[in-house]
Amino acid sequence: MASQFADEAELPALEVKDVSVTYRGAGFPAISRVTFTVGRGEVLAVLGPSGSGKTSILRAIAGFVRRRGTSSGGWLQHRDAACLTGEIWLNGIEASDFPPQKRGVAMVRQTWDLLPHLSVLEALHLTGRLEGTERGEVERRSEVVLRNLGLWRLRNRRPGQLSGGEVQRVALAKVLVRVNLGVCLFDECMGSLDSVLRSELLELIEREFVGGGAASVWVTHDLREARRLAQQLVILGNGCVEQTGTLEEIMKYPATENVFRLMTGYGPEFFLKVGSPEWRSLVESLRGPLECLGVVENGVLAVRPGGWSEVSDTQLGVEGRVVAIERLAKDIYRKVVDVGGWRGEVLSSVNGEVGQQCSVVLDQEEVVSFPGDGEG
Amino acid sequence: MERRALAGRARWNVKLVRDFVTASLVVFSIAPIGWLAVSSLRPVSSIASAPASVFRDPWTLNNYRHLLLDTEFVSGMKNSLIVALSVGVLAPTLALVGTFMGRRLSSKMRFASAVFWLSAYAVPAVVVVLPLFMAIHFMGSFNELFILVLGHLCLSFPLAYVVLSTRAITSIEDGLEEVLILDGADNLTVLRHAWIPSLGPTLGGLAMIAFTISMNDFVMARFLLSGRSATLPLVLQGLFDLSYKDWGLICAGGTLGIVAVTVPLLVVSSAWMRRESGGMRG
Repeated sequence: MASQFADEAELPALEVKDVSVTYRGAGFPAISRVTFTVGRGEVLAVLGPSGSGKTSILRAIAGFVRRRGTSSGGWLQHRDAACLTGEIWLNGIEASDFPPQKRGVAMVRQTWDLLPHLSVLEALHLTGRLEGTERGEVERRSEVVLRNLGLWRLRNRRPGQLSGGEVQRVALAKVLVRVNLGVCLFDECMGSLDSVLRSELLELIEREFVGGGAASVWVTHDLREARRLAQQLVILGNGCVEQTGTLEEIMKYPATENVFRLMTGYGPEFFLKVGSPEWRSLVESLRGPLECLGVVENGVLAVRPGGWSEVSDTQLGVEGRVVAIERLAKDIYRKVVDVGGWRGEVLSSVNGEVGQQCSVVLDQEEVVSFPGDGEG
Repeated sequence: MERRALAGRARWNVKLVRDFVTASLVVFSIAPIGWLAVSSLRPVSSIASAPASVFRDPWTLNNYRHLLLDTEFVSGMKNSLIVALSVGVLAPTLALVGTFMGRRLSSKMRFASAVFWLSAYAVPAVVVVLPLFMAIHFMGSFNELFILVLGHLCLSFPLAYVVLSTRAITSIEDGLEEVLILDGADNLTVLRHAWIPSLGPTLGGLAMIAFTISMNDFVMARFLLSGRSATLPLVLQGLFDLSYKDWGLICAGGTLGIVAVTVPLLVVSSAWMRRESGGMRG
């Protein structure tokens, strides 16, 4: 028996295998053949631009998108506007056909979704009772969770009587009060928060979920959130997984131009088309053969953050023009420099002015190349 | 200073006119009811006498005594309350369940069902109710009040369904339901915790509309009921006689009929107001 429990503990809490979701009438899948695994206590961040299928993945994991013809097991089916193919495994069990109630999954959304007629304590009690936990245990657990989150004094208030930050903490308390929680899904839940609340909440989530008993899937388009919480990242683009891996892996070997754009936030002016007049001019002026980077014809080049650096000796570098300056901290400035039509990011200890000329050098190890789109 | 004084005087004039119009409307609405109530407490002989005076004769409860003891009023009131309470409870309840189930349909099917129920108003009620009446009549024993309840439901349900469907779209977020379902809630729990609290005021309003219409209905009751189980409007109609009209009985019956409708209305609306103001605290 002991070995069996050991095996169970090693099973991933969530496995998404080859999952596609097609919405009725759309004709093409919203997500296509998505695969990833999340272990207990791990946070996996799903990043992607709007419309890339992030929420569809969460709805499939939650059970609101199911295979055609499967029943919810209740006297009414939740309307099925989408169809799932592939498999979803929870704690080593194939759960693709399980109704949402039986999956041990919780979801936290941007709107936080608290019942307006229930007080904080009543909401936690209801969540615990719906899960089937014994009444005394629910009450004990609710008190512990509310005290841990500093919400005990607000236990008799309703959502309408709470501030925005308190509502968020109550929504998290509702998740934490659950005993049989296997997977927690966060759907861009920081979207409407100011930076202070966001920071507080991230700290709370980091404390309660990272290394806890449940697996978490964190859907966001904010890289800072992913960087802080997630051990693994899944980058989506047009409904397909473009890359999975740790932050370091993805930054070191970005699979596509889209992944690099998403990870850096760089616009098109940070990318240099091989063979373009700007490229020819730069190959001549930069100290080093850019052609040796193994780029394919008509490919695109970009430089990782920190790849450019400012030098005081104009003989060593190439001439650039500062187009934007951002103060990050005391004596740390982020400058965007235009070098012959190619923009790059420079971290500098010296402030300057927009439009000012400067001398920069390129670390060719930090140059990444992507295949081109085939157009001249 | 002078301009400010003129502006203040203009605002005061506007307020005066507004208050006068409001007071006139209130008097216009309340006065006939007040006159009815006062007349029901006067001897029959003085009600129709001229010039009209409220204080000429001593007030009396004879009209009420006569109404309650010598007529079918109590039985009619009981029947009306049975019909009105049944319709008032069933119409919003069935509409709530129907809307809840309809929400699970695709948007095209939801639209089709709303059009279907609204089209019920295009058909004369008699055409709907008469075959029902005949079918149950042929089957043998039946309760006439049950038929009347069904008839009123045919009229009240479509309205309640369409109103609730529209309200549900704006009042109940999918996310609220989904979070409850993920917590382990079944459909009844979702209905109880997400739907009923959100749609409570609408349900109360629909219940009151259904209650009031079926309580005061005369035409359908006249058509469907025999003399055995008359409702309040039929009993009141029986008090009219072409040769002799007992205005004391008519005033007393009218007053009690109004009370029977307005008391539940006031109870529901005050509960509603308490709920709304409770939500504003803090």
